[in-house]
Amino acid sequence: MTRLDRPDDLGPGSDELTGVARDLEAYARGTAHAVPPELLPRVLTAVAREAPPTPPVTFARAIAALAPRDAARAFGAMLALVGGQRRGGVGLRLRAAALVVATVLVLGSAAAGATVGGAQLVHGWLVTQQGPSPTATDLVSPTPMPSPHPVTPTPADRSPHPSARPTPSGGPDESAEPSEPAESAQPSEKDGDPSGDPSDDGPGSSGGGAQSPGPSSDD
Amino acid sequence: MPSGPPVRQPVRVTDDELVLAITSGDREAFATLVEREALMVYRVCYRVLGSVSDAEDAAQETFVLAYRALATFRSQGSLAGWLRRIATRQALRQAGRRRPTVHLDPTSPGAPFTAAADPARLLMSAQEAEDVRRAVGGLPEPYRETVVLRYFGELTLEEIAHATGRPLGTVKTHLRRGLARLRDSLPASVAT
Repeated sequence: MTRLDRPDDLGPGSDELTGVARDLEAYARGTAHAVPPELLPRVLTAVAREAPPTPPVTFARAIAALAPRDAARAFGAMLALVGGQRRGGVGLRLRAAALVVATVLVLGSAAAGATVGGAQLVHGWLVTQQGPSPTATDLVSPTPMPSPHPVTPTPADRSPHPSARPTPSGGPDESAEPSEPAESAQPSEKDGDPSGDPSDDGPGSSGGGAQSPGPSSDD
Repeated sequence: MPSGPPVRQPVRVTDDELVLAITSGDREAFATLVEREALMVYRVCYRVLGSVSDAEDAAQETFVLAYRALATFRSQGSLAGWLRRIATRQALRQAGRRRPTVHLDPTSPGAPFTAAADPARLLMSAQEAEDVRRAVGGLPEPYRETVVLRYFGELTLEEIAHATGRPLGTVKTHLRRGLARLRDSLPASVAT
Protein backbone atom coordinates (compact mmCIF):
# COMPACT_ATOMS: atom_id res chain seq x y z
CA MET A 1 0.00 0.00 0.00
CA THR A 2 1.45 3.31 -1.07
CA ARG A 3 0.59 6.78 0.09
CA LEU A 4 -1.57 7.17 -3.00
CA ASP A 5 -3.83 4.40 -1.78
CA ARG A 6 -4.81 6.34 1.31
CA PRO A 7 -8.07 8.12 0.66
CA ASP A 8 -7.97 11.81 1.43
CA ASP A 9 -10.54 13.23 3.73
CA LEU A 10 -11.49 16.24 1.70
CA GLY A 11 -14.65 16.97 3.56
CA PRO A 12 -18.30 16.71 2.61
CA GLY A 13 -19.25 16.61 -1.04
CA SER A 14 -15.89 15.29 -2.19
CA ASP A 15 -17.16 11.96 -3.48
CA GLU A 16 -17.61 13.30 -6.97
CA LEU A 17 -13.93 14.24 -7.03
CA THR A 18 -12.68 10.75 -6.27
CA GLY A 19 -12.88 9.82 -9.95
CA VAL A 20 -10.42 12.57 -10.82
CA ALA A 21 -8.21 11.56 -7.90
CA ARG A 22 -8.18 7.96 -9.16
CA ASP A 23 -7.11 9.12 -12.61
CA LEU A 24 -4.22 11.03 -11.10
CA GLU A 25 -3.22 8.05 -8.99
CA ALA A 26 -3.33 5.80 -12.04
CA TYR A 27 -1.13 8.23 -13.92
CA ALA A 28 1.33 8.34 -11.04
CA ARG A 29 1.51 4.53 -10.81
CA GLY A 30 2.09 4.26 -14.54
CA THR A 31 5.05 6.62 -14.34
CA ALA A 32 6.83 5.02 -11.39
CA HIS A 33 10.13 4.60 -13.19
CA ALA A 34 13.38 3.70 -11.52
CA VAL A 35 16.03 6.35 -11.16
CA PRO A 36 18.45 6.43 -14.09
CA PRO A 37 21.82 5.16 -12.84
CA GLU A 38 23.68 8.21 -14.12
CA LEU A 39 21.65 10.64 -12.02
CA LEU A 40 23.64 10.25 -8.80
CA PRO A 41 27.08 10.85 -10.40
CA ARG A 42 25.63 13.81 -12.29
CA VAL A 43 24.32 15.39 -9.12
CA LEU A 44 27.51 14.81 -7.17
CA THR A 45 29.60 16.21 -10.01
CA ALA A 46 27.42 19.30 -10.19
CA VAL A 47 27.57 19.80 -6.44
CA ALA A 48 31.35 19.32 -6.32
CA ARG A 49 31.71 22.72 -7.99
CA GLU A 50 29.63 24.40 -5.29
CA ALA A 51 30.94 25.89 -2.07
CA PRO A 52 29.89 23.93 1.03
CA PRO A 53 26.47 25.17 2.17
CA THR A 54 27.67 26.51 5.49
CA PRO A 55 25.53 29.17 7.15
CA PRO A 56 27.93 32.02 6.31
CA VAL A 57 28.01 31.00 2.64
CA THR A 58 24.24 30.64 2.55
CA PHE A 59 23.84 34.01 4.26
CA ALA A 60 26.11 35.72 1.74
CA ARG A 61 24.24 34.08 -1.13
CA ALA A 62 20.89 35.17 0.28
CA ILE A 63 22.11 38.74 0.67
CA ALA A 64 23.43 38.73 -2.87
CA ALA A 65 20.15 37.33 -4.13
CA LEU A 66 18.16 39.91 -2.10
CA ALA A 67 16.26 37.12 -0.35
CA PRO A 68 15.55 38.50 3.14
CA ARG A 69 13.76 35.41 4.45
CA ASP A 70 16.59 33.10 3.47
CA ALA A 71 19.04 35.61 4.87
CA ALA A 72 17.15 35.69 8.17
CA ARG A 73 17.15 31.90 8.38
CA ALA A 74 20.83 31.70 7.56
CA PHE A 75 21.49 34.37 10.17
CA GLY A 76 19.64 32.25 12.71
CA ALA A 77 21.78 29.29 11.70
CA MET A 78 24.91 31.42 12.18
CA LEU A 79 23.71 32.46 15.63
CA ALA A 80 23.16 28.81 16.50
CA LEU A 81 26.64 28.03 15.25
CA VAL A 82 28.20 30.82 17.27
CA GLY A 83 26.15 29.95 20.32
CA GLY A 84 27.18 26.32 20.20
CA GLN A 85 23.75 24.84 19.47
CA ARG A 86 24.98 23.80 16.06
CA ARG A 87 27.97 21.66 15.19
CA GLY A 88 30.86 23.18 13.30
CA GLY A 89 34.61 23.61 13.19
CA VAL A 90 36.50 26.47 14.80
CA GLY A 91 37.11 28.20 11.48
CA LEU A 92 33.47 27.98 10.61
CA ARG A 93 32.46 29.38 13.99
CA LEU A 94 34.90 32.29 13.62
CA ARG A 95 33.59 33.13 10.18
CA ALA A 96 30.04 32.97 11.44
CA ALA A 97 30.89 35.17 14.43
CA ALA A 98 32.58 37.75 12.20
CA LEU A 99 29.57 37.86 9.91
CA VAL A 100 27.18 38.16 12.84
CA VAL A 101 29.15 41.09 14.27
CA ALA A 102 29.38 42.78 10.88
CA THR A 103 25.68 42.31 10.28
CA VAL A 104 24.78 43.70 13.68
CA LEU A 105 27.00 46.73 13.08
CA VAL A 106 25.53 47.40 9.66
CA LEU A 107 21.98 46.96 10.87
CA GLY A 108 22.66 49.09 13.93
CA SER A 109 24.10 51.91 11.84
CA ALA A 110 21.19 51.73 9.46
CA ALA A 111 18.72 51.77 12.34
CA ALA A 112 20.44 54.74 13.97
CA GLY A 113 20.46 56.66 10.70
CA ALA A 114 16.82 55.86 10.14
CA THR A 115 15.96 56.98 13.66
CA VAL A 116 17.76 60.30 13.30
CA GLY A 117 16.28 60.92 9.88
CA GLY A 118 12.83 60.03 11.13
CA ALA A 119 13.17 62.32 14.12
CA GLN A 120 14.18 65.18 11.86
CA LEU A 121 11.25 64.55 9.60
CA VAL A 122 8.84 64.47 12.53
CA HIS A 123 10.34 67.63 13.95
CA GLY A 124 9.99 69.42 10.64
CA TRP A 125 6.44 68.26 10.32
CA LEU A 126 5.56 69.43 13.81
CA VAL A 127 7.01 72.86 13.17
CA THR A 128 5.00 73.09 9.98
CA GLN A 129 1.82 72.03 11.74
CA GLN A 130 2.21 74.52 14.62
CA GLY A 131 2.59 77.49 12.29
CA PRO A 132 4.32 80.81 13.18
CA SER A 133 4.55 81.76 16.80
CA PRO A 134 2.54 84.75 18.17
CA THR A 135 5.67 86.89 18.35
CA ALA A 136 6.33 86.26 14.73
CA THR A 137 2.74 87.21 13.94
CA ASP A 138 3.19 90.53 15.65
CA LEU A 139 6.25 91.19 13.61
CA VAL A 140 4.57 90.35 10.38
CA SER A 141 1.13 91.78 11.13
CA PRO A 142 1.65 95.48 10.31
CA THR A 143 -0.58 96.25 7.39
CA PRO A 144 1.03 97.26 4.17
CA MET A 145 -0.71 100.65 4.25
CA PRO A 146 1.60 103.35 3.01
CA SER A 147 3.03 105.43 5.70
CA PRO A 148 1.55 108.94 5.71
CA HIS A 149 4.89 110.55 6.33
CA PRO A 150 6.19 110.72 2.77
CA VAL A 151 2.76 111.71 1.45
CA THR A 152 2.03 114.63 3.73
CA PRO A 153 4.32 117.36 2.70
CA THR A 154 5.57 119.61 5.33
CA PRO A 155 5.57 123.33 4.71
CA ALA A 156 9.29 123.20 4.42
CA ASP A 157 9.01 120.63 1.70
CA ARG A 158 6.27 122.44 -0.14
CA SER A 159 7.68 125.83 -0.24
CA PRO A 160 10.56 125.30 -2.60
CA HIS A 161 8.51 123.48 -5.18
CA PRO A 162 6.36 126.28 -6.47
CA SER A 163 9.36 128.47 -6.82
CA ALA A 164 11.55 125.83 -8.17
CA ARG A 165 11.35 124.68 -11.68
CA PRO A 166 8.84 121.89 -11.66
CA THR A 167 10.00 118.59 -12.93
CA PRO A 168 7.88 115.71 -14.14
CA SER A 169 8.86 113.72 -11.11
CA GLY A 170 7.61 116.43 -8.83
CA GLY A 171 4.12 116.23 -10.23
CA PRO A 172 2.88 113.08 -8.61
CA ASP A 173 4.13 114.04 -5.19
CA GLU A 174 1.94 117.02 -5.27
CA SER A 175 -0.89 115.47 -7.17
CA ALA A 176 -1.29 113.04 -4.29
CA GLU A 177 -2.43 116.00 -2.32
CA PRO A 178 -5.77 117.12 -3.74
CA SER A 179 -5.67 120.41 -1.94
CA GLU A 180 -2.69 121.62 -3.93
CA PRO A 181 -3.73 121.66 -7.58
CA ALA A 182 -3.64 125.42 -7.85
CA GLU A 183 -0.14 125.64 -6.56
CA SER A 184 1.16 122.93 -8.80
CA ALA A 185 -0.52 124.40 -11.85
CA GLN A 186 0.60 127.92 -11.35
CA PRO A 187 4.27 127.49 -12.11
CA SER A 188 3.55 125.77 -15.37
CA GLU A 189 1.26 128.61 -16.48
CA LYS A 190 3.75 131.18 -15.35
CA ASP A 191 6.73 129.64 -17.05
CA GLY A 192 4.83 128.27 -19.99
CA ASP A 193 6.48 125.01 -19.33
CA PRO A 194 4.51 122.19 -20.94
CA SER A 195 5.64 119.81 -18.25
CA GLY A 196 2.34 120.37 -16.52
CA ASP A 197 0.58 118.63 -19.37
CA PRO A 198 -0.57 115.21 -18.18
CA SER A 199 0.56 113.74 -21.43
CA ASP A 200 4.10 114.56 -20.44
CA ASP A 201 3.95 112.83 -17.12
CA GLY A 202 6.69 110.38 -16.73
CA PRO A 203 6.09 106.74 -16.23
CA GLY A 204 6.57 107.09 -12.52
CA SER A 205 3.78 109.57 -12.27
CA SER A 206 1.04 107.73 -14.07
CA GLY A 207 -0.82 107.14 -10.85
CA GLY A 208 -1.08 110.83 -10.25
CA GLY A 209 -2.00 111.60 -13.82
CA ALA A 210 -5.66 110.96 -13.29
CA GLN A 211 -5.77 113.51 -10.54
CA SER A 212 -3.19 115.68 -12.07
CA PRO A 213 -3.92 119.35 -12.27
CA GLY A 214 -3.70 119.23 -16.02
CA PRO A 215 -7.43 119.61 -16.77
CA SER A 216 -7.82 122.39 -14.29
CA SER A 217 -4.92 124.26 -15.89
CA ASP A 218 -6.61 123.86 -19.27
CA ASP A 219 -9.63 125.46 -17.79
CA MET B 1 37.80 -13.97 -2.41
CA PRO B 2 36.18 -11.54 -4.84
CA SER B 3 37.16 -7.95 -4.43
CA GLY B 4 34.78 -5.33 -5.72
CA PRO B 5 33.81 -1.81 -4.97
CA PRO B 6 32.81 -1.26 -1.39
CA VAL B 7 29.10 -1.46 -0.91
CA ARG B 8 27.65 1.47 0.95
CA GLN B 9 25.70 0.24 3.89
CA PRO B 10 22.47 2.10 4.45
CA VAL B 11 22.74 4.00 7.66
CA ARG B 12 19.67 5.32 9.37
CA VAL B 13 20.29 8.96 10.04
CA THR B 14 17.80 11.60 10.93
CA ASP B 15 17.11 14.67 8.85
CA ASP B 16 18.75 16.93 11.40
CA GLU B 17 21.92 14.85 11.47
CA LEU B 18 22.11 14.88 7.70
CA VAL B 19 21.57 18.63 7.49
CA LEU B 20 24.16 19.33 10.15
CA ALA B 21 26.70 17.10 8.48
CA ILE B 22 26.13 18.60 5.04
CA THR B 23 26.22 22.18 6.26
CA SER B 24 29.48 21.38 7.98
CA GLY B 25 30.97 20.47 4.62
CA ASP B 26 30.46 16.70 4.62
CA ARG B 27 29.88 15.75 0.98
CA GLU B 28 29.43 12.08 1.82
CA ALA B 29 26.41 13.04 3.85
CA PHE B 30 25.00 14.81 0.82
CA ALA B 31 25.55 11.68 -1.28
CA THR B 32 23.56 9.77 1.33
CA LEU B 33 20.76 12.28 1.04
CA VAL B 34 20.74 12.05 -2.77
CA GLU B 35 20.62 8.25 -2.65
CA ARG B 36 17.79 8.35 -0.17
CA GLU B 37 15.60 10.90 -1.97
CA ALA B 38 16.59 10.55 -5.63
CA LEU B 39 13.75 8.18 -6.49
CA MET B 40 10.95 10.46 -5.35
CA VAL B 41 12.59 13.63 -6.62
CA TYR B 42 13.09 12.04 -10.01
CA ARG B 43 9.52 10.72 -10.10
CA VAL B 44 8.03 14.10 -9.25
CA CYS B 45 10.03 15.65 -12.06
CA TYR B 46 9.16 12.92 -14.51
CA ARG B 47 5.45 13.04 -13.72
CA VAL B 48 5.39 16.77 -14.34
CA LEU B 49 7.61 16.79 -17.40
CA GLY B 50 6.97 13.38 -19.02
CA SER B 51 10.48 13.08 -20.37
CA VAL B 52 13.43 11.13 -18.97
CA SER B 53 16.07 13.63 -20.00
CA ASP B 54 14.07 16.63 -18.81
CA ALA B 55 13.31 14.88 -15.53
CA GLU B 56 17.00 14.13 -15.01
CA ASP B 57 17.89 17.76 -15.61
CA ALA B 58 15.17 18.95 -13.23
CA ALA B 59 16.17 16.43 -10.57
CA GLN B 60 19.82 17.48 -10.80
CA GLU B 61 18.86 21.13 -10.53
CA THR B 62 16.64 20.30 -7.58
CA PHE B 63 19.51 18.75 -5.65
CA VAL B 64 21.85 21.61 -6.51
CA LEU B 65 19.30 24.17 -5.33
CA ALA B 66 18.68 22.16 -2.18
CA TYR B 67 22.41 21.91 -1.52
CA ARG B 68 22.81 25.67 -1.74
CA ALA B 69 19.84 26.37 0.52
CA LEU B 70 20.25 23.56 3.01
CA ALA B 71 21.29 25.93 5.79
CA THR B 72 17.86 27.55 5.58
CA PHE B 73 16.00 24.25 6.02
CA ARG B 74 13.65 24.38 8.99
CA SER B 75 13.64 21.21 10.99
CA GLN B 76 9.90 21.46 11.73
CA GLY B 77 9.09 19.71 8.45
CA SER B 78 10.57 16.69 6.78
CA LEU B 79 13.55 16.91 4.50
CA ALA B 80 11.74 14.72 1.98
CA GLY B 81 8.79 17.10 1.82
CA TRP B 82 11.11 20.06 1.47
CA LEU B 83 12.98 18.39 -1.39
CA ARG B 84 9.80 17.37 -3.17
CA ARG B 85 8.50 20.88 -2.99
CA ILE B 86 11.70 22.18 -4.56
CA ALA B 87 11.41 19.45 -7.20
CA THR B 88 7.81 20.38 -7.91
CA ARG B 89 8.64 24.02 -8.39
CA GLN B 90 11.70 23.28 -10.48
CA ALA B 91 9.81 20.84 -12.72
CA LEU B 92 6.89 23.22 -13.16
CA ARG B 93 9.27 26.04 -13.98
CA GLN B 94 11.03 23.87 -16.52
CA ALA B 95 7.71 22.74 -17.98
CA GLY B 96 6.69 26.36 -18.40
CA ARG B 97 9.87 27.13 -20.32
CA ARG B 98 9.82 24.32 -22.85
CA ARG B 99 7.61 23.74 -25.85
CA PRO B 100 4.97 21.02 -25.64
CA THR B 101 6.05 17.64 -26.99
CA VAL B 102 4.11 14.68 -28.27
CA HIS B 103 5.41 11.16 -27.76
CA LEU B 104 5.27 9.46 -31.13
CA ASP B 105 6.89 6.28 -29.91
CA PRO B 106 4.85 4.88 -27.03
CA THR B 107 7.44 2.21 -26.29
CA SER B 108 10.18 4.73 -25.68
CA PRO B 109 11.50 5.01 -22.13
CA GLY B 110 9.91 8.42 -21.87
CA ALA B 111 6.45 7.14 -22.59
CA PRO B 112 4.27 6.29 -19.61
CA PHE B 113 2.12 3.22 -19.11
CA THR B 114 4.78 0.86 -20.45
CA ALA B 115 3.18 -2.06 -18.70
CA ALA B 116 0.33 -2.26 -21.16
CA ALA B 117 0.69 -4.85 -23.91
CA ASP B 118 -1.61 -3.65 -26.65
CA PRO B 119 0.12 -1.07 -28.91
CA ALA B 120 -3.17 0.71 -29.48
CA ARG B 121 -3.68 0.91 -25.75
CA LEU B 122 -0.11 2.13 -25.33
CA LEU B 123 -0.65 4.96 -27.77
CA MET B 124 -3.91 5.96 -26.13
CA SER B 125 -2.30 5.84 -22.71
CA ALA B 126 0.52 8.08 -23.84
CA GLN B 127 -2.01 10.56 -25.11
CA GLU B 128 -3.98 10.33 -21.88
CA ALA B 129 -0.86 10.89 -19.86
CA GLU B 130 -0.11 13.95 -21.92
CA ASP B 131 -3.65 15.15 -21.28
CA VAL B 132 -3.23 14.65 -17.54
CA ARG B 133 0.08 16.53 -17.50
CA ARG B 134 -1.35 19.35 -19.54
CA ALA B 135 -4.47 19.64 -17.40
CA VAL B 136 -2.47 19.64 -14.17
CA GLY B 137 0.04 22.07 -15.63
CA GLY B 138 -2.82 24.40 -16.57
CA LEU B 139 -4.11 24.69 -13.03
CA PRO B 140 -3.59 28.04 -11.33
CA GLU B 141 -1.51 28.28 -8.20
CA PRO B 142 -1.78 27.22 -5.43
CA TYR B 143 -4.01 24.39 -6.67
CA ARG B 144 -1.38 23.13 -9.07
CA GLU B 145 1.31 22.86 -6.43
CA THR B 146 -1.04 21.09 -4.04
CA VAL B 147 -2.22 18.57 -6.63
CA VAL B 148 1.32 17.88 -7.82
CA LEU B 149 2.65 17.43 -4.29
CA ARG B 150 -0.23 15.10 -3.41
CA TYR B 151 -0.38 12.86 -6.49
CA PHE B 152 2.99 13.29 -8.20
CA GLY B 153 5.05 13.78 -5.06
CA GLU B 154 3.00 11.31 -3.01
CA LEU B 155 2.96 13.52 0.06
CA THR B 156 0.17 13.27 2.56
CA LEU B 157 -1.97 16.29 3.26
CA GLU B 158 -0.20 16.81 6.58
CA GLU B 159 3.19 16.71 4.86
CA ILE B 160 2.00 19.20 2.27
CA ALA B 161 0.85 21.47 5.06
CA HIS B 162 4.29 21.20 6.65
CA ALA B 163 6.16 21.70 3.39
CA THR B 164 4.15 24.70 2.26
CA GLY B 165 3.58 26.24 5.66
CA ARG B 166 -0.16 26.36 5.08
CA PRO B 167 -2.84 25.17 7.49
CA LEU B 168 -4.21 21.69 6.89
CA GLY B 169 -7.69 23.00 6.18
CA THR B 170 -6.30 25.33 3.52
CA VAL B 171 -4.44 22.45 1.89
CA LYS B 172 -7.65 20.41 1.78
CA THR B 173 -9.52 23.30 0.24
CA HIS B 174 -6.81 23.79 -2.38
CA LEU B 175 -6.85 20.10 -3.24
CA ARG B 176 -10.62 20.00 -3.55
CA ARG B 177 -10.70 23.05 -5.77
CA GLY B 178 -7.84 21.73 -7.85
CA LEU B 179 -9.60 18.40 -8.39
CA ALA B 180 -12.84 20.18 -9.25
CA ARG B 181 -11.07 22.22 -11.90
CA LEU B 182 -9.39 19.10 -13.26
CA ARG B 183 -12.75 17.37 -13.49
CA ASP B 184 -13.86 20.13 -15.81
CA SER B 185 -10.67 20.36 -17.82
CA LEU B 186 -9.70 16.70 -18.27
CA PRO B 187 -11.01 15.08 -21.46
CA ALA B 188 -13.82 12.58 -21.02
CA SER B 189 -11.52 9.76 -22.16
CA VAL B 190 -9.34 10.36 -19.10
CA ALA B 191 -11.84 11.51 -16.51
CA THR B 192 -13.84 8.31 -16.22
